[in-house]
Amino acid sequence: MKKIELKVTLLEPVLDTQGEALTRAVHSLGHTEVDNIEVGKVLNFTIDETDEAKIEETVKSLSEKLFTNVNIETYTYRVLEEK
Amino acid sequence: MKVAVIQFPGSSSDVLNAARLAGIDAAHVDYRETSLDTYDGVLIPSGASFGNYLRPGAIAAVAPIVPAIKQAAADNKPVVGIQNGFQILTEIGLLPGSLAQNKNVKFINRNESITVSNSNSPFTQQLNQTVAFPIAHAVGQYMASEETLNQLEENNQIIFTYTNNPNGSALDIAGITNEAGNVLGLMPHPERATDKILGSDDGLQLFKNIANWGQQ
Repeated sequence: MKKIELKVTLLEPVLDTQGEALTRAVHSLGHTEVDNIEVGKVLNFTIDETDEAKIEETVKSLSEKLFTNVNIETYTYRVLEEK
Repeated sequence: MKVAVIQFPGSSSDVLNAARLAGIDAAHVDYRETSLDTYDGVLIPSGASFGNYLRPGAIAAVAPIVPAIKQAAADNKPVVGIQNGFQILTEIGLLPGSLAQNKNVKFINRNESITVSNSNSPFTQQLNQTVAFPIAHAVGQYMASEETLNQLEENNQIIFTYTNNPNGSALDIAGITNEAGNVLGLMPHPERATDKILGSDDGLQLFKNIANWGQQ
């Protein structure tokens, strides 16, 4: 059993309105050193599999079929821990 | 003309009523069904399927009924997705491109002037050059690659455009068809423009054109 943390964010040409609004709010708090906030989604799940190649295959397949819209979104994931 | 109106959790009923008003023998079909062989056409209604969880249309796109919708499209039956239905049609790959959040970030709910940009489509027969359809969406900005947009233009797949683009859609796109011309997706709501008392009855003709499919 492995735990997966998958992050979904918008691709470059798609306007990240939440990120832009947050960036402006942070600047208005005086933190002008903070910039380029991106807002995405996090999906956590477990997978009953230990073979790395199989995990990659399953996570990729589900990400491209369901978890993201590859036209406007991209994703990264990491295997968090062994249980 | 027997047409299936697909029902996902969160779908709206307006489309069924509009279809019946236009003389279509329309019936709800549950998203867990797996065949549409006994129907001559498919309507994917507006609303918010599965609460728009993850992103609009994402979960509907993997529902059991989806292979049957693809089969109906391949069999050259009319397949029409309105608003959430358009989002679902792009998610399942029957129409190219994607719908993203409106450029001004807002949910827009008002009557829009829509230009019929392809009057040769079976869907647009006897429609006025400009029609009034309500829009009601937050995720309606049509986006596609340069290549896809060029193909849409070259193949006359752009059926409806906004007269005053409200959501930042590429090429003012409000509705497109597939290359074969039998799958239509549009963000405006023709089903909410089917009686003068609603402010416009311009949408009724679109449903009548589905009722007359193959007979024009």
